[in-house]
Amino acid sequence: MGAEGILFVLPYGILWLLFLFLPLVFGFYISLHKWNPLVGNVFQGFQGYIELFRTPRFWNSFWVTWRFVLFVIPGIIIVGLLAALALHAKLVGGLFESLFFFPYLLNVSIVSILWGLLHDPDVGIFFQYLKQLGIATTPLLNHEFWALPMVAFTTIWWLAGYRMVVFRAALASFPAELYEAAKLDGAGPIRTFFTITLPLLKPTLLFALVLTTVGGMRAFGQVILMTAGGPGTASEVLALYMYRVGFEFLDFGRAAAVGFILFLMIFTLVMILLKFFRLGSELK
Amino acid sequence: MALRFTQKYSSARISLSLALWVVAFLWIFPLFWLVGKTFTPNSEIIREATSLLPRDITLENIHTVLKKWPFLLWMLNSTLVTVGSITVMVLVSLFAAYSFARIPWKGRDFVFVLFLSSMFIPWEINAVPLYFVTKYLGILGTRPGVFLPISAMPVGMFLLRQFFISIPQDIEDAARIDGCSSLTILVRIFLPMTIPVIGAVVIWISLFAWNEFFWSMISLQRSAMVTLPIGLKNIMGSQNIDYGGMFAASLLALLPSFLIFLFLRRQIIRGITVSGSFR
Amino acid sequence: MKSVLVLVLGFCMLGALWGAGAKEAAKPAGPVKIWFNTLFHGGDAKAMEMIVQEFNRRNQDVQIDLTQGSWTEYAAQLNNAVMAGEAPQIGIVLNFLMPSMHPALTPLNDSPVGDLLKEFGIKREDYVEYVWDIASIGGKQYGIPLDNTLLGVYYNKEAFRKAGLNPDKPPMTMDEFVAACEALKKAGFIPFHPAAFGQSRWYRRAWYIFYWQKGGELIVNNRAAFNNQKGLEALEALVSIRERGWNTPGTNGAAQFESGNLGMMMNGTWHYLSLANVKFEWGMMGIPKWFEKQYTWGSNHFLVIPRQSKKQEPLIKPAMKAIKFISENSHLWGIYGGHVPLRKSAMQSPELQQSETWKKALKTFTEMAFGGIYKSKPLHPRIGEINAAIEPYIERAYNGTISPKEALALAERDVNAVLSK
Repeated sequence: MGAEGILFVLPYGILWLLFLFLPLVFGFYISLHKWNPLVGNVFQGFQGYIELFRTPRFWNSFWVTWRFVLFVIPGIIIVGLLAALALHAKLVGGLFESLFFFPYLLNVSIVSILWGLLHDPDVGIFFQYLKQLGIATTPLLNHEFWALPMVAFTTIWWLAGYRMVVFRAALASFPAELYEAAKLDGAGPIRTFFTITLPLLKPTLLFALVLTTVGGMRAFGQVILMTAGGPGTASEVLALYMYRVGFEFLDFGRAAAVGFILFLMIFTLVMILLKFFRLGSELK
Repeated sequence: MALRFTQKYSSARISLSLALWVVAFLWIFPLFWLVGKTFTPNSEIIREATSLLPRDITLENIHTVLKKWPFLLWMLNSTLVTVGSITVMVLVSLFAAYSFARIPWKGRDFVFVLFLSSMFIPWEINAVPLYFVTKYLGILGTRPGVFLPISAMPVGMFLLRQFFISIPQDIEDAARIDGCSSLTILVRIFLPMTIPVIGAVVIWISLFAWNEFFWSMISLQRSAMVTLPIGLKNIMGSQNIDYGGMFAASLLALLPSFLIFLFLRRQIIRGITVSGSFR
Repeated sequence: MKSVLVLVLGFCMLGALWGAGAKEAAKPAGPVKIWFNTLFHGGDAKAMEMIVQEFNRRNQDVQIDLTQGSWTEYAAQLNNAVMAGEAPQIGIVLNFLMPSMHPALTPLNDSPVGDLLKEFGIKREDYVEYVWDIASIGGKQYGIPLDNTLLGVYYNKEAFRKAGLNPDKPPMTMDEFVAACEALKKAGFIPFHPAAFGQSRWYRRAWYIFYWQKGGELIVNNRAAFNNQKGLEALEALVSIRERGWNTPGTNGAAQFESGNLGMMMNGTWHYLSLANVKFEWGMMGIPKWFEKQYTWGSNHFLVIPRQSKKQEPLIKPAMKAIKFISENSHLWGIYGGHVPLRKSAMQSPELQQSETWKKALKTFTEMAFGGIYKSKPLHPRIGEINAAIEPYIERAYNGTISPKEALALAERDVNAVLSK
């Protein structure tokens, strides 16, 4: 029986080993070198990491990533949840769901090009209106403070529809009797939400928190296509910095180090969240 | 939740609904704007930035973009990558999931969690090492070089395993008493029930593969191999494109997704609902 | 038993897919296919397409597959491809990247299949010698000079007329330039865009030009040497473009120019073909002498053969054949791409000198290239990272987020950190 079990797992296991695990290990290996096979790799242990920690630009991308994540996570979860609640309460129907969901099917290039054009000072209607209302004088994507939130907003627009569908499924699974009982008690919609819905939603919400965080910290495509990390380095998230160090500065050892640090950040965060909210049991 | 008539149409609900519809309209507005601008001639695009509808409708943007760039080739490549990912992932995940759910073996649960935890490896950091791994396997710069790593994601195996666990044990016990092998149980008994979950996996992996950006960007450089998201990126970086072209390119690129959504909306949403219920 | 069978079948399927993939990567029979990956984007990309198409038309035994790589990642992609043994047969390397890229290139006079220069009759005297020497490292020749690219100021002649300016006498001094900008602004045009398509590297180059015109040097004795009065004044001049309302940060100068709204645009030799369809009369004035000296930024492109794996070695000679063709036809590169070709026969070709390109822009560019106005320094192995260290601060200063003084101090700090590694 045991042999059969391993046999069944083998095909997937090979894929996993070759394409997920091996690259991770190899990446760590690269991060310990000055990596340039054409000239000769030089082992330097953790020197690359130490240099990184001494580089202001690295810390900049570190904090920029957190700032981005702090905008994106509440954004996606709150928007998704509100939309799901609206659907669940039958305030709106299938068309609403479709409209909200559709952006999720688009690839990052389309989303970034579209929103980049919306913000374009010569062509974009978004910017024109803001200008007419007197709110903005510089294009927001070129604004030191607002560039990052704008990319975050585009990300929310892109991904919230998916969360909405997941939340709605969860809401639909809650037992109707609880709501009946609450109504008999005379509870209004707001109180019902906080005393019944929210506690039931907790595991779903927390799982959404974990997944959205991971996704947010990996963000790359929309940043490079909308602002290229700018203005200056105001929106240069870690994934973009890692890419730059590798592909523009040609320092793949250091880039691998950034990548590994990113991996550790995400992994640690997820472990903390899982342990803290005891979601591990949910998975089993 | 069944509501009585007066509840359903109370003024609070009506005003809330209206507000929500306004929000929905604003939400989808960028796509309307995109369509409008695609058919606007370049000379008008800059001067009439605040208007929605073009004064002179034109097809020149679409025509120029189609002539300059091989959209059909890009879509073909994206399709091949997606189909490849689906095929491989579904096949290997079915077997792996069955093993994790139904066949006891030493270290099984540990391996499962190990595989699962790779969901938290950011896809992007593996790109450069993957370059060399695929090189040694002889698939660098090819489409299998893209869809094989994609099919290594643990999502399929995870969803299927959760579902298999939920299938009542007695069904399987009865089959075993009849002398069925694991393979027969998997194919003859489990498979038919699993279709909705397989559907969910297919939807998830299709979206991921069709829209994959980073790894495709790094590994698919030959013009014959370029996929749709990278093709778009190349258009953007070419500095040989005017505004009208950018709009047209975006519209053309989203057409397949739109058409599929139009016809398969219900299935897609149901698929996500299913995968969502296992979170 | 059945399980084993199915699993074997499954492995076979995977194997088939694999094989299909590997076969895609292998070279098909028929004409020899060589891969030429470029980093051209503007009008010049089309020009190279034309030349390659002509080569493919004339040569049935060798066909070129031309792809456009991304500008920013080009060098890294090339390096990786060489490391992986999957490099293109022909590539393009910029002059300031020669010092860092040459380990990834095939020495043309000492290749695995012989002395290609001798075999194909390519001599140093056929080219502008000082550029040829940039690719001569350690006695080996790593590339053939293709062209000189430079930045110049294009201007909208009709806008000039409407603003009361003489379109045949564009501004060449600071005073004339300021007056022209103000006149254009009054007439309702956007006066000037210093940074081509708007990405941050163009703002950096504009500042380089101002700084060099003030007589400054960027790196001296391996330390940053620009945080001084000259650097500051140069940056303040750049920032004043925004302050005087001559343009808005975050805009695309080429798009503004092509739509007829922009009076003057800083852009390069490559932009010529992109202007083929504009509906107004335009000219290229060269570079104004804003400050004490007259300099403009530019670079050189070299045709190179990246290092080939053992399997790819048979492709080296066909690649050289293609390079020779492209080089001999670089007058077309000049006419349609707008760059200054560096092969002497191309520079002197009557077809080039009678072309519209020559009359409108190329003649002035050529004069700048050989008149001591063209500058491309420093040629440092870490120039990519140095440029990247400076760029964000220039951009921020232009946007008004930090002061020019702060920008230079921070840039100096980061550049010295790079240099000290």
